[in-house]
Amino acid sequence: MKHIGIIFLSICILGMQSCYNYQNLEKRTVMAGHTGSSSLNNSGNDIFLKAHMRNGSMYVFKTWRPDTSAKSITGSGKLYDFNRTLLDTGKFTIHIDSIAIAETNTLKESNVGAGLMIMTVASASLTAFCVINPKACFGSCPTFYAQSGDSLMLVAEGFSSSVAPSLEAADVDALVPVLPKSRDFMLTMKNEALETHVVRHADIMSVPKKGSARVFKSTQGEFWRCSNPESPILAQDKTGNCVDLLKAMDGKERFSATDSTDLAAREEIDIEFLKAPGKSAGIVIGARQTLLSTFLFYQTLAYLGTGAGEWFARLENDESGFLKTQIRRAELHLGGIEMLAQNSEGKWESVGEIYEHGPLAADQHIIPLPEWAEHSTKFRIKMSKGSWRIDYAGLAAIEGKTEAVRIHPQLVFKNNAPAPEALSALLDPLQTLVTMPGEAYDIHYRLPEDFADSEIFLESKGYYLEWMRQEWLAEENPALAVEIFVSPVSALRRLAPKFKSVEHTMEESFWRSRYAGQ
Amino acid sequence: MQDSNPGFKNYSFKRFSFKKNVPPFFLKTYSLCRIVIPLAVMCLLNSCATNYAPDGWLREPDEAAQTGYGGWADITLKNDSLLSGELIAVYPDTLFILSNLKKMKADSIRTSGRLYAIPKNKIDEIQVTYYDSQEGAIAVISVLGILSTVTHGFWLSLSAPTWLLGGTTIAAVRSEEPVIEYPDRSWENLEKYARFPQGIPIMIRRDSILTKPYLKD
Repeated sequence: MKHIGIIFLSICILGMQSCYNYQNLEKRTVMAGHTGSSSLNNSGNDIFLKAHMRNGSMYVFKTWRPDTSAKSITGSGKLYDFNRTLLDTGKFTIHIDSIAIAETNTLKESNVGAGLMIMTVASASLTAFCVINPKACFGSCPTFYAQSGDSLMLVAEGFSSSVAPSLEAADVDALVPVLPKSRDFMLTMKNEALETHVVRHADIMSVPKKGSARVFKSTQGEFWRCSNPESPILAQDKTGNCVDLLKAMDGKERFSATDSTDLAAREEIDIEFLKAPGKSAGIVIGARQTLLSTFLFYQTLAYLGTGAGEWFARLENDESGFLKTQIRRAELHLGGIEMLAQNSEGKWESVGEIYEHGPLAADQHIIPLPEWAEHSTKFRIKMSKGSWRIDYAGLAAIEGKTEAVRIHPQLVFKNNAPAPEALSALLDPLQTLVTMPGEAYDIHYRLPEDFADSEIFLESKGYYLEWMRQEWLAEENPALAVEIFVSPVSALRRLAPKFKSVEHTMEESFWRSRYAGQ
Repeated sequence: MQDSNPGFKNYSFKRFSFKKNVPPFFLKTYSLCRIVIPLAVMCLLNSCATNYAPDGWLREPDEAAQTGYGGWADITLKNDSLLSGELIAVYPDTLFILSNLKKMKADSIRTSGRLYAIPKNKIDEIQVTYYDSQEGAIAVISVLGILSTVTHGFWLSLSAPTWLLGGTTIAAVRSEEPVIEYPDRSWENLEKYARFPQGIPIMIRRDSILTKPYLKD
């Protein structure tokens, strides 16, 4: 029964395509004096010769042959009177002198048929791909775009982990690629997925810095003013030296495939810097998630199936915190990006871990190093295979903790028209701005006077509700959903082959389509 | 029954009843339909060439290639009135159309039965459509195509507009293919789309020229 609607629709489209043969009809007339010329030779199956006679009648020849010596045309066809009533059918020979005008009618294939077929085949292929692998077609949390030249550039995604009202949280994203040119700054917030977004606020956090200094935030939400970080000189994983991918936040990311037997299987990258900055240092990591976490979320929703709503309602009423604990447990088992340094005994010891939710926009975080690791130049990254895309690693000297200036939106526009209700919703902590798929808001801010000497971050707060997809219902199995929460170890092993079978296609297709659309 | 101690142990896997009442496909496509379909229809209507030929009058290209009727002419006069009918003949100073539409009376036009003779100097624009472009089928295919993108998830944001823009463009291009317009094209160019490209033969009584039989609604 599953997908019957879509399959029926696809058959309808293809059926209609095949029913209609998009042809062009080209007419060419030949005056009476030229009707004996070879230009009237029958040269194809899709050509008809109409001989308009001086008395108003008309012959339509399907096949014909001009006879220049006899000054006649002989062929098979039909004879019509001036009201185009059929008079006779068969073989006719007509004298050229009795023809007033001859006219060829040529049928040619129209290009629109090919265009339509290309669109149908491309769309049907995508439909087939998505039907076979529904969790490859993703949604996203609220996405934020900034102006970059004439186009919009994706710079952040908000509260990716807040998938229910009770999980509402603030998310701070470094607007890394953005260099405001004036105090007037605009972000475009979009809902680009089949989701309902509930946005409590979307504020700019402006953090003053000096000169070439940088500001990074830690996972604890603190802002640290640092020197410009040094890039690594070596980054060794199992496949070799990947240091070139980690030297700059340039979109060239280091990532690997998941393990085929365990999605929580760990991998390591050893990175090395030329020198330690000395006292108070921190490791800066620029990264985003792969689509693995999104796959797991959607797989969980698929297993919950028609009961998902009830489960989410239970989550909201979960006064004991049991469900939230289980969700966190599953999340922890997959893990973040753990950073290790060698202690005095030469053993690798954790110095911190980064969790950055969301697969769309990379974000930067700093892990301030403990005193014992401040002089380290060698570090080890430990994480689940195939769950992170690391764009940048750097070692920075920390100058000190700093505070951000919160900047509220000044104006909000929707469809180029002022949206004062949206503005008041974003300004009032007791209100929320609810957005539906396809909606976009232009949010205008007034940056501080020293904006050129500041780093800006976006703090978005809210939650979103994923829309259940018809395809997911086919996999409804609450027992397997329970397994994800109560036994993530076995669940991540069981789901490994399932994800592995779609991993390559999913990543490639998603990102190609994603960025093509911006 | 409300569970006082929420947790997996006491969970009952009760299905929602709305699934029985509302087709899930409708629920999924509702939002898409609400936004995209009116937009698609609006785009298709605005971008396609329109003619006033009665339903069934224009034939598909392969049939039109073998029949001897003229194309359908929609003529805008300089006084902004519109005349429509089969293009019968085109003379250097006059154009003849045949129509059985009663609203086609115009004082300044000489008529003979249902044959209307229209002086060239009274004509502002002419659009002759000589076969059925079937752009309506393209519109339907495009709308179905847009609906089929509901399975595309995030890619819907690409595939639905592609169908919308592509379908609109293709339908618009297709609708223009069988159309010849004056003054964009020369007056003489209209001749070959007339029933009598050679002119109305003198032996034919003009009031004996009959309109093309066609399927009405």
